[in-house]
Amino acid sequence: MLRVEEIEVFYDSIQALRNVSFEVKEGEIFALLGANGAGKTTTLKTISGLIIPRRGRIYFQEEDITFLPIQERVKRGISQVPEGRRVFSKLTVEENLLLGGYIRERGIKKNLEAVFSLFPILKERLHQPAGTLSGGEQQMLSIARALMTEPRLLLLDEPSLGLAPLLVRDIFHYIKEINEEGVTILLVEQNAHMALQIANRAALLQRGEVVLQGKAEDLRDMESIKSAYLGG
Amino acid sequence: MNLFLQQLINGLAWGGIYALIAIGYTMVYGVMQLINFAHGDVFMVGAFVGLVIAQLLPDKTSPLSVFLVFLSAMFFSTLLGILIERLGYRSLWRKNAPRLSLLIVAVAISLLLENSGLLLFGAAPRSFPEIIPSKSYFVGSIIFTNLQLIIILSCLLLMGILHLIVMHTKMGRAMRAVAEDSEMSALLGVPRERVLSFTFALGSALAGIAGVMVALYAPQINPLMGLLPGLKAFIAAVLGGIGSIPGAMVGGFVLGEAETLVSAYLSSSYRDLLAFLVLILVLLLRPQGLLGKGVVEKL
Amino acid sequence: MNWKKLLLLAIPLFLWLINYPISNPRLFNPYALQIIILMGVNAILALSWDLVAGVTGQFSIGHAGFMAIGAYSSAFLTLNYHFPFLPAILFATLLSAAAGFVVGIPTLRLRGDYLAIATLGFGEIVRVAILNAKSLGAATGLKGIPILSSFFSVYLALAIALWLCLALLKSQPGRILLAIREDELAAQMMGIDVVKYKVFAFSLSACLAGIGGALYAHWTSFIHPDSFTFMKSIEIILMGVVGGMGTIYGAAAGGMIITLLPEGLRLLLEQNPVLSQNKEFIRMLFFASLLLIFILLRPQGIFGKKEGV
Repeated sequence: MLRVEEIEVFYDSIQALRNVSFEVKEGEIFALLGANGAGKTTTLKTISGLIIPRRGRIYFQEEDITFLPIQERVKRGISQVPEGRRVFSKLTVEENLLLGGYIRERGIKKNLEAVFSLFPILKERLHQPAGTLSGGEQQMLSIARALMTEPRLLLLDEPSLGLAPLLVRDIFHYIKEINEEGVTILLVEQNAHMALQIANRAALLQRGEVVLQGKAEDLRDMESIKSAYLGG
Repeated sequence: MNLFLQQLINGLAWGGIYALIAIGYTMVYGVMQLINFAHGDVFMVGAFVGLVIAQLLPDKTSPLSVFLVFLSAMFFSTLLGILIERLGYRSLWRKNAPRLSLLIVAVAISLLLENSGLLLFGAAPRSFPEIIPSKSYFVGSIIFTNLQLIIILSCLLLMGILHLIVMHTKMGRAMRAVAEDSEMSALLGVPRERVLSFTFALGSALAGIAGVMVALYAPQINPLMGLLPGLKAFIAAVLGGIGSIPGAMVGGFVLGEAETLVSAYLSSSYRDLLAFLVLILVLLLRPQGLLGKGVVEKL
Repeated sequence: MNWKKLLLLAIPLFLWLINYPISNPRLFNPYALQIIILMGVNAILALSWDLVAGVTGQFSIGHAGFMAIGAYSSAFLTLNYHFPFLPAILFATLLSAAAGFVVGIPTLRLRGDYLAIATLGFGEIVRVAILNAKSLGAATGLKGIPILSSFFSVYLALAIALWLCLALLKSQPGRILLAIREDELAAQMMGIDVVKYKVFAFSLSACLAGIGGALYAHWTSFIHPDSFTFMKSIEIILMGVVGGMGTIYGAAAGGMIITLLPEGLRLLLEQNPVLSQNKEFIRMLFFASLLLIFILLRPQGIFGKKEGV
C-alpha cells in the first residue's frame, strides 16, 4: 500500500534520514520504532508531505506521491495524527471534528456517528472547547479528527506519549479496533513493548537509518531489541 | 458632562471605522503572522473607487447610488486584497521566507499603491460628493448627525455579519483553525492558500467600506489618507490583542474615543501622538493586548 | 608599524588632500559634489540599519527617528550656541545612542514584528514631537544651519563607520550578534545575555544614524520634520536590502546606489514636463518596485552571498 524507497532528508546540512526504505501492506499495523531523534517523526512528516525528501520516492497504492501537496495526499487517504495531539484548543470538539471532514463533501454525518460509536465520550463533550478536555480525551479527539478524513492509511505519531498507563492501554485498544475496521496503520512509538504487541510488522530506526525490519513477533524475541527498547 | 457625552458620540464613528480596518490587520496576522502594511492603502483605494463611481452616477443621492458606491468600493478593494496576497505574499509564504522579507514586501506594496494614487489623482485633497445629505438631530443639547448614526450602525451590522462568517461557516472555521495551528490544518487537508485568500478578501472588503465611510465623514480624500488611519487601526488591533477579532473591535472603539477626548480636552496636535504612545505602552506593559490571551513572542 | 596600519592612516590624509579641489566649484561640479556627499551620508545610514537588521536580525522601521535626533540636536547647538562642528556631532551621537538605548529596552520583551512596530512608533513620536516643538522650528523647520559638513568630514565618518563595523564583526561581541540573528533562543541557552547585546547593537546603530543625520543637517542647511518621515526609514531599509543585509560593505554600497540611481532617473524625467511634475511619485514607485524585485527575486541583495536573510 505504502512504499518508501531510499529516502534521504536533510535539515539544512544535517542529514536526518539515510536511505530509508520500507513497505506497509494493506490492512496491517506497521510499527516504526527507535529512540528519540532516530528519525521516526521525520519519516512520518515525509509521508504526509510536510517535508519533501532530497532523494528517494514514496508510493501510495502504486502512485508516486513524493512531491504531491499535503492536501492531495489527504484526499487519497493518508492522514497523520501528529505528536502532542495538536487539537485546536479554542475550537469546540464538534468544530475540530468538522475540520477533519473538511475535504469530504458527503458522509460527514455518517462519519461523525462512526467516531462517536468508537469514542462515546466525545459526543458528551461536543460543544466544549477542545482545550478543556483531559489529555486522554484530547488524544481521542485527535484520532477521531483524523478518522473524519476517511483515511485508508493512518499515521500515528507517539499516541501514548504523556498518558497514564491505563489510558495507554485504552488508546492501543482503540488503534487495534480502527485497524480491524480496515484502516491500515503506520505507528511510530518509543514504547516498543506496547507497539510490538499490536503490530504485524515493524522496522527499527537508528540515527536515521533502518537497521532492522521484520515480523513483529520476530523483533519481539530479538535480544538486541529486548535489551535496548523493551527493558529486559 | 454634556460636552463629554458629545465627544463620546463624536468618537464613536471614528472608533467604528478604526475597528473595521483593524479587523483586517488582525485576521491577516492571525492566519499568517504578517503585519499587512498595505492594508491602510486598500482602505484608500476603497475611498477613491467610491469617488469615481459617485462622480459617474447621475442621481448621486438616491439610495441605489449610495448602495452602488459602497458595493463597488467593497468589490474593488476585495479584488485588490486578493491580488496583494497572490502576487506579493504567497510565493514568500510558500518558501517559508523570513518574516522580515514579508514585512518589507508589505511596505513596498504600500508605497506602490500610494504613489500610483498620487500619480493618478495628484496630492491635493479631493472633496467627496455628499451622497448622503447631512441631517442633524438633537437630544437635549447633544447633536449627532445622520451620517454618524449610519456609520455606527453599519459598523455594528458588518461586525455581526463578520461574526457569523467566522464562527458559523466552514471557511470561518478553517480560518480559525489555520490561525491556531497552520500545520495541523494542512494535515487535515484544509486548503491553506484558499484560506489566506479568503482572509485577505474579507479584511479588504471591510477596509473598502471603511474607506467610503471616511470619505463621507471627512469629507475629502487623498492618496495618502490610508497611511495614518492604517497605522492607527493597526495600533487598535495591537491594543485589543493582535489576532483577536473581538479585540480589534474593542481596540478600535477605545482608540477612537481616546483620540477624540484628547483633541477635545488637550490639543488636537496631540491626537496623532496619542496613538503611538498607546502603542509603545501596550507593547511594554501588556503586549498581548486587552483581550489577547495567547503568549506573545517573548524572550 | 606594518603597511596595513599605514594605509589606515593614509585614508584620512588622502580624503583631506582631495577635499580642497573637490569642494571648489570652479574645479569640480557642485551638483556632482552634492550627490557624492549625499551618497556618503546615505551609506552611513544604510550601514547603521544593517547593523541592527542585517547583523543582529532585529527589524527597525524607525531609523529616520534616530537620524532626526542627530540632525536636530546638532543643528540646535551650532545654530543657537555656535558650537563647533565636532562637539556638536559628538553631542548628537550621544543623544542618538541614548535614544537607541531607550528603544533597545523594548527588546527586553519584544521580538520580530512587535519590535518593528515599536521602532515605527518611536520614529513617529520623534517626528510629531519635533513638529510640536517651537524651539526646533516646529512645522517651519530649522533654517540657516551653518554648512559645516564637507567631503572630508562625511567620507572620514563613513570610513570610520566602516572600520568600526568590520572590526566589530571580527570581534567576540560581533560574533555574538550574528549568533543572535541565527538563533536567538540557542544564543540564550548558551548563556549569552541576549538583551544586553541587542541593546548594544541598537545603541551603536543609533549612533551611526545620528552622525548621518548631523552630517546631513549641516550640508543641506535646512531640516524639516517631513525629511524624517516613515518614508525616510523605508528608503534606508531599501538601501540595506539592495546592498545585501549583513554585508557591511554591501550595505554601504547600497546606500550609494540608491542615492545615485534616482538622480539618473531625475535627469531623465526632467526632460519631460509632465513626468517632471510627478518626479517625486515616480521616484517612490521606482523605489518600491526595486524593493519588491529584490525581496522576491534576490533577497540576499547585490553583494550578499548567503541565501535569504
